[in-house]
Amino acid sequence: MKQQYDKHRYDVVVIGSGPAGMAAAVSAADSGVSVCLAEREERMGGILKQCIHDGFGLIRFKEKLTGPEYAWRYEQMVRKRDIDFMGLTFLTGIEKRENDFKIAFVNPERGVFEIEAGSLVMAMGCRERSGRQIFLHGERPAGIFTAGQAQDFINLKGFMPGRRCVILGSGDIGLIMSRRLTLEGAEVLGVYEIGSAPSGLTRNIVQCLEDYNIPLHLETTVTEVHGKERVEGVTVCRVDENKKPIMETALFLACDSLILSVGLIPENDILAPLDVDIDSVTKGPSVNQRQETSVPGMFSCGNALHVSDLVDYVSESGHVAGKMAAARVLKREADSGQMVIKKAGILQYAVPQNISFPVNGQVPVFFRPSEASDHAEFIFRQGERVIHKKKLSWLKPSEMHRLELDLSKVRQDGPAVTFELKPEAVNE
Amino acid sequence: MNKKMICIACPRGCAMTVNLEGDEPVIRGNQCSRGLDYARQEILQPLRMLTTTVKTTHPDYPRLPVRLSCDIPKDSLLECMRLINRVRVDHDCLPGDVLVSGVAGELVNLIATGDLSYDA
Ligand SMILES: Cc1cc2nc3c(=O)[nH]c(=O)nc-3n(C[C@H](O)[C@H](O)[C@H](O)COP(=O)(O)OP(=O)(O)OC[C@H]3O[C@@H](n4cnc5c(N)ncnc54)[C@H](O)[C@@H]3O)c2cc1C
Repeated sequence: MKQQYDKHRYDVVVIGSGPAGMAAAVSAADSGVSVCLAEREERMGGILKQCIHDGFGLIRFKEKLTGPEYAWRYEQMVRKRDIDFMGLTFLTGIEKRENDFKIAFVNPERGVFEIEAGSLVMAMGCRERSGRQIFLHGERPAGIFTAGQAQDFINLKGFMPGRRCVILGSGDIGLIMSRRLTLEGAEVLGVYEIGSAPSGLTRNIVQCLEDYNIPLHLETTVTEVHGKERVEGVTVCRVDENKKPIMETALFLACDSLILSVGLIPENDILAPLDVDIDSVTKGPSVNQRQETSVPGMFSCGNALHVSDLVDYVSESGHVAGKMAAARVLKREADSGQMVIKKAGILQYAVPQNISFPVNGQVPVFFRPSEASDHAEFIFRQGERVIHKKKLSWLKPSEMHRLELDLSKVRQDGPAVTFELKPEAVNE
Repeated sequence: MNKKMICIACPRGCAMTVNLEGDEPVIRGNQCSRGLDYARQEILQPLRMLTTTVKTTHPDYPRLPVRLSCDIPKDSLLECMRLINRVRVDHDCLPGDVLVSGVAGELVNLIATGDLSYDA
């Protein structure tokens, strides 16, 4: 790996060096093109640096690794290759030109500067929803954190965000932080979830809450935060079937911090001026099977594309995007056509959203159901012709699925292609 | 007697039932062999991995992430945290390095999971 800061043009520029961006840079470099990996932080690794718990890499490395260990393995792959890493470098703007991109950055060494890129891979990850986005109003006392912020404070900086904590939302990061806070000596009063089912993985309910006797309160939310300078307590309230608080059930809990784990949103604001098609469900760009967005030459991967619960899938999508971004530069051949994939049944979303022709070979398809179902069948068809079917069990909106599909069976002149997820009644 | 259990060996989280009536526990609902191992161990003595951080003397990176070399009994996690919290690192290290051998009983070592470098 070279540390070369004066180059002005690369075949492929990757934005963000989390697991998605590192994988993209590795695959692009392996295709023989020049690659630059730009990252706003000092070090590579993205969010994995603060995810010190284990459970990463079971698919990719067949081992149970912690986040930093997983990131380290990819960092070594990046360093072994001819990839220019630019740390402390923030992307501020993208201009699409006829055949390439002009990208604006700012960093301490070069100030504001521009780089040209043949193709671009967007791997900026996601950000957490904040209190304002879930309509938590009132005073702004210290002591309200997102779960990822609390994780950053404890695991990287060594600060405790609070001693008596209430967790709002049952996302995985909140569950993991409930355990982490308890191990570090804080008291976690409970996890409060407005929905009727937890949004995190069941295994995290077991190993992060049940193991430490932390109660999970479903259909309950925080309606008020008390305190002027510092959080002094919160009001929690049960909700009815329309998610409206039942005021008679209001209860005051004395605490010094409120930790929010209320969802993640792909980070794509920077794409707005380019009119990139965004999927209204995933909040990431709509892509074809090469993970190319509606702007030719711009690819997306990882949590910026859609929020994954497994880092292994994030890496896989990075490898696809990096390889395809390099292929775009090596062979600038326009696609011969595009088809939008229709969704049917209890399918919340599926990625890719489009098929570009010509197609060849197997591609991974990721999807989530819109509702829980014990058994369901995934059906891939063109018109009435079924191309592939697969039975699945124990589906939940909180758990993502991956299938490999052979898109080359799709005829370009044929009728619409549909992904259907059909719930099944099974008699046992 | 049927005991319900969620396997925590991987993110799939199989819902299992364990029947303890016979000589050998009868385990159902697992989708792979890790589920059997998990359920058998969970009946005997629940084991968990412990990951945390230790202090460093580094000016920019005040914490180093660590794990144990193997799972330990669930009810000894908090005691183990107390022992690990005394550790302070003042030297370079790489993921996989043993920081303390025998940190919680003779056979359990404390392993670095991140890297730390003092020459800037
Ligand atoms: C708390 C938590 C717990 C998790 N637990 C698990 C688990 O147990 N098992 C598992 O498999 N997965 C887990 N995950 C998921 C996994 O960590 C993420 O899916 C994965 O890290 C996402 O990778 P990414 O590369 O898409 O994004 P990130 O890791 O977020 O990387 C994005 C990078 O882009 C950079 N960036 C953003 N904007 C810019 C810009 N404008 N200019 C320059 N750089 C920029 C950021 O600094 C960052 O380094 C967890 C995630 C979290 C948050």
